[in-house]
Amino acid sequence: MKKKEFLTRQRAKNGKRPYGAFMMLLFFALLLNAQNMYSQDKTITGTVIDEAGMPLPGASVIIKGTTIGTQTDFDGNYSLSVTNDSATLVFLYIGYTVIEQSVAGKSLINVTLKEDAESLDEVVVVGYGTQKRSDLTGSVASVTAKDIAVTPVVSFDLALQGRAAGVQITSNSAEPGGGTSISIRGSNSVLGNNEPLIVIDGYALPENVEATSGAEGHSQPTNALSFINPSDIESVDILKDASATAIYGSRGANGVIVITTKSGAEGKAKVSVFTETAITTIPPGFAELLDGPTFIRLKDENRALRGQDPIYNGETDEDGNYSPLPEEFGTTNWLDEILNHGIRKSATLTVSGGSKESSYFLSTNFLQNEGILKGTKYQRGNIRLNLKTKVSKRFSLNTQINYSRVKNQRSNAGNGVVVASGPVFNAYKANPTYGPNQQFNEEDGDGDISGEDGTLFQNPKLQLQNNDNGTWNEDIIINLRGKFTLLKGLDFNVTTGFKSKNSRREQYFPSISGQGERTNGKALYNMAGNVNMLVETFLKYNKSLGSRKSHKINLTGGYSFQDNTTRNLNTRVENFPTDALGTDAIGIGLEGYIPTSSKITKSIASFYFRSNYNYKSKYYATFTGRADGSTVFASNQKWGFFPSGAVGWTVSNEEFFQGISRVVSNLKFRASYGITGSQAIPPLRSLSILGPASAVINDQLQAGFAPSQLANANLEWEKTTQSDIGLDLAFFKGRIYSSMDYYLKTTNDLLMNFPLPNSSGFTSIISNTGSIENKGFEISLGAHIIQSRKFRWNTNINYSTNKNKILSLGPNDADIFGRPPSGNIVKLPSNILRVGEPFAALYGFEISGLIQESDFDADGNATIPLYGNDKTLGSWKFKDVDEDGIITAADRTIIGDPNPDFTFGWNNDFTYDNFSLNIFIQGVIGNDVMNVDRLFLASGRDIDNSLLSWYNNRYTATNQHNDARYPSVNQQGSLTPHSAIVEDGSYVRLKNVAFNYNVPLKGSNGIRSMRVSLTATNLLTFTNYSGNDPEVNVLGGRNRWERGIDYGSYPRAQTFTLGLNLGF
Amino acid sequence: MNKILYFAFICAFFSCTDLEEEVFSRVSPSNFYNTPEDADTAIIAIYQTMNRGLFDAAMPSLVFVASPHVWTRVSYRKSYANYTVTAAETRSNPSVWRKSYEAIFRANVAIGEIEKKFYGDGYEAERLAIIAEAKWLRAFNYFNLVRLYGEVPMPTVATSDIEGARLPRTSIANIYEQIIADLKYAETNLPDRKRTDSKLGRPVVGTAKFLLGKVYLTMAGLPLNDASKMPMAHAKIKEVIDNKEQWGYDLLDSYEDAIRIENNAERIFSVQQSRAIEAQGTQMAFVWGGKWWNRGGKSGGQYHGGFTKDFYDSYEPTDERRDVTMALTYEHFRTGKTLTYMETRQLQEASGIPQNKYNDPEQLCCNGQNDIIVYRYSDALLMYAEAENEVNGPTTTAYQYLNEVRARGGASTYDASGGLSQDEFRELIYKERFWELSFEFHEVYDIRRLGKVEEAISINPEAVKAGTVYEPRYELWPIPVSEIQTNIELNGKNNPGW
Repeated sequence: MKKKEFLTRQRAKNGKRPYGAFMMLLFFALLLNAQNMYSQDKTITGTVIDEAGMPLPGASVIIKGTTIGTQTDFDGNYSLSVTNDSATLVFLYIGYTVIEQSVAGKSLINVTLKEDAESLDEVVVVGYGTQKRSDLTGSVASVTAKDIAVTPVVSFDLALQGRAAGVQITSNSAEPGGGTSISIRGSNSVLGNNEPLIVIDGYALPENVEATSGAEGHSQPTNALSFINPSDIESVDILKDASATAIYGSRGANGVIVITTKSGAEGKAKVSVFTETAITTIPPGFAELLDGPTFIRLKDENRALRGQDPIYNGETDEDGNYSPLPEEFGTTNWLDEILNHGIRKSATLTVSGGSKESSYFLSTNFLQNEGILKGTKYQRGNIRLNLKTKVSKRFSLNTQINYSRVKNQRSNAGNGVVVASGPVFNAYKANPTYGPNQQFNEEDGDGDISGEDGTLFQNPKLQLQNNDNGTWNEDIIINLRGKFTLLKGLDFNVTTGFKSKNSRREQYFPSISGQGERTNGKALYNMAGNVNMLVETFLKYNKSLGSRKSHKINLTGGYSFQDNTTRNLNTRVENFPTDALGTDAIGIGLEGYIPTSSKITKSIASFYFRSNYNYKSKYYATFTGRADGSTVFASNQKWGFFPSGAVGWTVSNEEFFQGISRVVSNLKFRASYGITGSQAIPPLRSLSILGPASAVINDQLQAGFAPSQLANANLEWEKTTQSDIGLDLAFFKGRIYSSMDYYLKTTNDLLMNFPLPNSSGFTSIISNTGSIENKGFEISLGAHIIQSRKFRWNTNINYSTNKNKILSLGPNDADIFGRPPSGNIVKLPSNILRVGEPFAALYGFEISGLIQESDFDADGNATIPLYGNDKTLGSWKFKDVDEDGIITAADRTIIGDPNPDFTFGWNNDFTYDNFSLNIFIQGVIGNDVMNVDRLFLASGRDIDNSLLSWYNNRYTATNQHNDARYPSVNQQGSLTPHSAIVEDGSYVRLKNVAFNYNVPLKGSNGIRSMRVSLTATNLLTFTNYSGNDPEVNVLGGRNRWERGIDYGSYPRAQTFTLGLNLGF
Repeated sequence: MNKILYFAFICAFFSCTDLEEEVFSRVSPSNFYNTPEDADTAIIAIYQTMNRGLFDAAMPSLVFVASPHVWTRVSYRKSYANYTVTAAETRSNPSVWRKSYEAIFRANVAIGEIEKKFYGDGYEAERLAIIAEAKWLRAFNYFNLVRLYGEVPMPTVATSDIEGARLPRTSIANIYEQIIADLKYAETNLPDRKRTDSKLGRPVVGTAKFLLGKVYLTMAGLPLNDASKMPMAHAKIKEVIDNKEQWGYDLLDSYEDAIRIENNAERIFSVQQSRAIEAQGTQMAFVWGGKWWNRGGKSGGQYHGGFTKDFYDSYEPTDERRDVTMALTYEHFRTGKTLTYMETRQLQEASGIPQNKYNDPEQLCCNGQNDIIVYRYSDALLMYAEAENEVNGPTTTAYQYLNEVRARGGASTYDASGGLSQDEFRELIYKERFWELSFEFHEVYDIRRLGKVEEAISINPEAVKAGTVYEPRYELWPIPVSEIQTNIELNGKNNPGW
């Protein structure tokens, strides 16, 4: 890279990302240090001091227009050789203005650098504009391109995990391209979206739409944000408090993530090629399962307990059928059959550059990521073009175009349905004595083709091998932003754009698969399309008033309209004469079902304004308001108004503070209060509508219509009131910096599916009822710990807590139950919303131990209440919570809290010479996980395989104990959520270790820069969780509130990536 | 692109603020039910609630397995047979409750909306017949509910808000009063002859009279013990028998035909099903079909249970009804081997003899063809014999109707001069009802109204195995816990003892 370009670029941005820029600069400075010994001519020495006369160690001194430079030592002294007497030296120090000095005729140059308030500041992208961080009154966290680039991910949201205080990101599925749940400062909403609003280059994205898998279980949506290539992102700003989010009004209640993509800079075209090759490896941590002989022995053991004779006895019966002995059975390790190492390949080509009038940034990316479940794969092709054009002196135009196409070959792992369960769950529970290619249940001893629950044997290997299971997504976003300067300080802005998404879900279950066997092949072909259009006009006005321009005013106000249309088409065909054509020819199926389609529109119209005022950068005040009208609400409730206000006081800018400003360089208090909203409901819910309810008479289908919902004529916004107090601190010119916030959020008029007595004919109605409180504390702390000439260590840590509590759930505060973990077998809900309890608390029976001999009297009558009259010794002992002497549904209670006590991220950047090392640790502490797998694998069900740890420790006549994790065999009746399967899901993860080497380049062989990187992801996880990985959320996605459930989750791969970044 | 620019232009300069919600994919009720055809869709929607899931999967737990003669392999079903069930049972009880009330809600919508309309003088009879059909269906569902659960909430208008969605319980007597009122309306306003074509099998006057007779007979038994209703039952059922040609009812010559042929003359009411149309097929054969038996469909049945060997043996060997009701032997659907109950590992004693009334070799999984038999004409004959015995004693007439049913089935007939007491004859009828009507949704209703619950517990193999001891609460099922939790008007109280 040419230094001139580099500097120009940095200065053009003027400290926008000072630490990153500074680091990079230093990088080159150091790099060049090594080179300058070849060209000694004239030596310049000097000292760099600040205004107070103190030396500035570590300041950079660079020869302008070159890549040659050095750093000042501890006393602020430097020494640098220059070859050209007309050279100019550039002096740089973080937080100070840049100074240039010509060397002509000089050998001693002493410099006094002035503190630069401007350059201390990042620029933060807020709604409809930017602000200096020091001017912020709200709570905004930022993540830079550098932090994103360091993690090789499919989608940027995964790279944000642990990077910002108050932002919790949980991967719902570890499949490649799997979705995430993002929650900013807790969860506010029951019914709908707890996800933040995502704004890309000024375009507020609509709620995600994706083709569903219809009747085949609640399989999760893929990642909604993976249409953006993470390396196209320049910065991510996360707006958290009401002052920051109220400008987005009805969509701000869950926070806002503002994404800015990269743009070209003035200068010649720069080309960079970035390739990554990774291996995704099978993680450790799978619990061992029973081998074949042990599995068979357990069956006979169970039989014996039922009073039957063992049948694996090595004898031949009268029909000549031989029954083998247990040890004659072999073992298939089903996990080995479904898991493999995968390859991840990614290539990005970027061209950028520009002139004074216009600049361009063009990037293309191809990514292929194989999963560790055989056959699962994510593929993306992506192209982005960002153009900036200055049409005239007064008019500039900014265009972003992004096209992406994703193909995701999937597995249905963790889809939570036993009949159609995914391969991981099937591999856990599959009969280990079956061969890897076994198709159906054998008629084993008791002739069980299926359990009493009707589950068939599904060979997980064949399931992956045979089933076609794909999601295709195509996303286009085009966004034009024009800016007219009407007067000095007054801009008129127009934004218009559209986003379109086409999504297709194709699944084919051949006749030899468990899911296709009953129907002789089954195809699903579902489509969803979404078109979203946006137009906005707004005025911005900047004015400084008074003597020395000490009053600064910044006003923004405008109008926005966004229109959204979603269409769906779902088809299902069964009974295929051949499996060869799959979903490519569903017409050959003999049994077709009537396709369903829908079209739904939704519009939001908005008026908004914001005023920022500051006096001498000491006192700040911000007022924001937005009025939003939405079609989805009842006719008399269309409009809502969302105001907020905030004040700030920068104490460190007061005169009286100057004495200690060398130590405490920044001290600022912030306070904000405001209301934001959420329109978490699907359309048409305020209306009474008729749904189809056709029935057969005389073998003909006859049309029927019946009211499909109870209308709610008062349906309106959810309102979240948030107050926030914050403190920003920096010491030693920003060498140590910290930001703290305490917030209290109360969401009222919660939109809920309020449960109705079924005797009304309905199960629920959507209404505004109930409230939820979230409160928490966030701190981020950073330090430039070591800043020596060769070695630098920067670190930052963020920590956040969130406590949520349900304050009310409507008129009679009735509990709201979540979905059961599986559609057909574990049918009781696993999560509950109950007043006074945390959000989505885990719910079920409490297990107080195991049934002991001492629980029976001399006549053999139980002295404790029994569940389902199960008297088996060593069975789970259910606690009679209501003490009525019997175990009934009323004995279910809160058995866990899936919300963490705190989350943290700890990032470390080490730089030595041309090497750098990033170590990133992330943790979630204090959350509970319900491990539903254990209901099957640690419960003595002999139709499923079991965990070896359970087998070895299980309760038997000779091993009597009271540890509910290891009950006796014969627990068939207890497939219900309970406390014996709730575990601590805390974990600390060495999320990312990235090692970079900047290859020093000599001569101009066309290559501007070269960086080699080696990155390990998910290297180590510290947890007591007994499942494969504690970061689970199989019920996540599709805007549902249930959480903390593990049920055949896709295992989380470890990834080792080799990256090469070339600049031309 | 033009479209976008146009949109942008319009919105930027003229304000897009029309926020009226447009409905594209749904029908709005504000402009519906305006023709007799519209009105008929409201009735069809009531039938839809009785489709798959209710009579094949859920209802048998509550009605069939507590019979004295039934085994079941499935633990949640066992809990109904041995009364270890709780209000939290999730598989059967909430389905029966929810779907019955869904039907009632839809009937209330139909009645409420169509009563307000006038389609013209020429259509008045048709309009009233539609209302009458909704009332018949409402009465049918309340009749099931009151017998299963006792006092239940009784909405008679469709709720339009949350308050109307929560109703307290209504006394058993008042529920019956409503049922009788609805059926009397139906008896007057339904079509007075057998329906044809697209309405084949839907209720007519005779259907209403049959159900009214059954309601009276039930009221005469437990828990109301209203003796005044027995003569009314006697008279009402007689009306059905005397006028059977009017509605096309008759006893078929063959018991097997009566069971297997759809919409035959013997069917007074059935839930109609079709394999060929999505969600309109029944899973009866699949769920209850014998294991490895292709009559349960192409993958065999799930074999949730079956009849006891004692019950099988209780039939006379000549009685053709025995092997139509159950299959002691059948062929393995893959190997073709003959499987015999208790002689094959697949058919263990404690799984019962698989039912044979519902079978459909062509079905894929849960989509079967067979209509679900709810009421048959032979039941009218048996009810009449029972009422005759109660009113006049075991008269020749009583014997005549009982014997008519037995003779058709291939069983020997009883000698009318046998000198049986009224009590003894009552027992004969009771037994006959199992032989004739098993697996047709009469079991629990009969044992309850006739005070036989305790006796059934002493015979039912699941109850015997579990050592169940009779308690008065077993006369009713518990109301599902979800209703108790959501309906504040119930004050958290379930049926006594539950």
